[in-house]
Amino acid sequence: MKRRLQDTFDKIHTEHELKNRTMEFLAHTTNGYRDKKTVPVKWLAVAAACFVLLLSAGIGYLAYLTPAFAISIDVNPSIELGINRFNKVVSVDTYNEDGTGVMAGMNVYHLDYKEALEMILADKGMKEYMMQDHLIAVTVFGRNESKNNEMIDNVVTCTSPYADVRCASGNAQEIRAAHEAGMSFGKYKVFLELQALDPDIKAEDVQGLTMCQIWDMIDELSGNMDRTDQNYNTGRYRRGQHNGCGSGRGRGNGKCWQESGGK
Amino acid sequence: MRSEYEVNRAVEQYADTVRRLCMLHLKSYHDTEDIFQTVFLKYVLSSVEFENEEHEKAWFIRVTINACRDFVKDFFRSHIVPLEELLHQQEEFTPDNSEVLEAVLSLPAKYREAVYLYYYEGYAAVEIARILKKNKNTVYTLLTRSKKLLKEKLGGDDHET
Repeated sequence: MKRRLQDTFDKIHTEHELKNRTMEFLAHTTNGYRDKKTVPVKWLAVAAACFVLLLSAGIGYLAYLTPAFAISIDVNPSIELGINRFNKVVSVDTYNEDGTGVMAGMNVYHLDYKEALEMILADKGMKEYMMQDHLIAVTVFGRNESKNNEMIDNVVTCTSPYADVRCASGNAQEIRAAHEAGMSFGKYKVFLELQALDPDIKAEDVQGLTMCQIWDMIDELSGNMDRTDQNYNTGRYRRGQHNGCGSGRGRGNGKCWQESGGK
Repeated sequence: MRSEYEVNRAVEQYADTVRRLCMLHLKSYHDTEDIFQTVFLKYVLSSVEFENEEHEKAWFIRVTINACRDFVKDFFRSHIVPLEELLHQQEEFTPDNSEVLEAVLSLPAKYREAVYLYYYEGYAAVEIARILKKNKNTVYTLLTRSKKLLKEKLGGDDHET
């Protein structure tokens, strides 16, 4: 039986025509044996969809983590909040020990910036500084004026119950210069005002001073010691009622005075 | 992708093996041509590196059997051509060859594969089990039953293995 089976299968051969047609088919299908291995279209589609999904997630994540705006809060504690395009806090920087102390026990990451401001201003430690100085300088930086104005409006709403608030907006160049000088850009803008009155004053001279002390120097140099003058104008910041530093001063009127011509 | 030289060598070397396996499963020349194209295209696109000729031959046998099995799952494909046409495809066949092939083709497909690999290709049961991805004892059973069925149809010595 084995021999008969072998003899039978031995006689089964491939027809030349079949071999030739197969080789022609292979040469044609592989474009002369030059095509790369064919990947099914559905897998390509799945791979492309995954790529787009990952790319979108990556871009979204980056967009979320990238600060688009910033708010500088300076009483004596100097604190800067980086705000993303979704109005969430994504970075917190402090520029003096007081600022570090205030933020040490507080987590404002991923909060809406208005909530974060309220939380910072409601902090017991921060309140103590505000009790002493009665003055908050809030400086916002955005990439366009309408956003700056919107943020200033919101900041005013949040901060006005706490003290006399001075608001301003800054530009990217000022922020860079402020950080190079080791100051928050809110404090740096006030320093620029002081320097405009006394060009000999250097950044190092004001780094250890509180905001209120700097304002007092500005008041002194500008020759306007009337702290109740509603028309007082420093040139960069406009402010309202302010009763100066030290004990016995009255509370500000809570009105925000915006910088004119800020970018 | 394999080179044209490699592919032509493989066609010359394994075409008859593929043809015989197709004969065991398919009853149409056109179906055989489809399987030829499928098997050799897989070879062209495959990145498998064969350790030796035996390994390569076993790969062709396994791929051909799988391709044929997939093909005959279609009921109509497997029932539209009479056996006579298949037998007439081989001009060299004697009446005895036709009788033997007819007997082999009357066996269930899994028996045919085992018979061909054992009696013609000379594989041991263990090797057949590896190629067909079956248990060794299952292969022994297949061979015993197919031998019995073939003996009933073809007669033969009890001494033959």
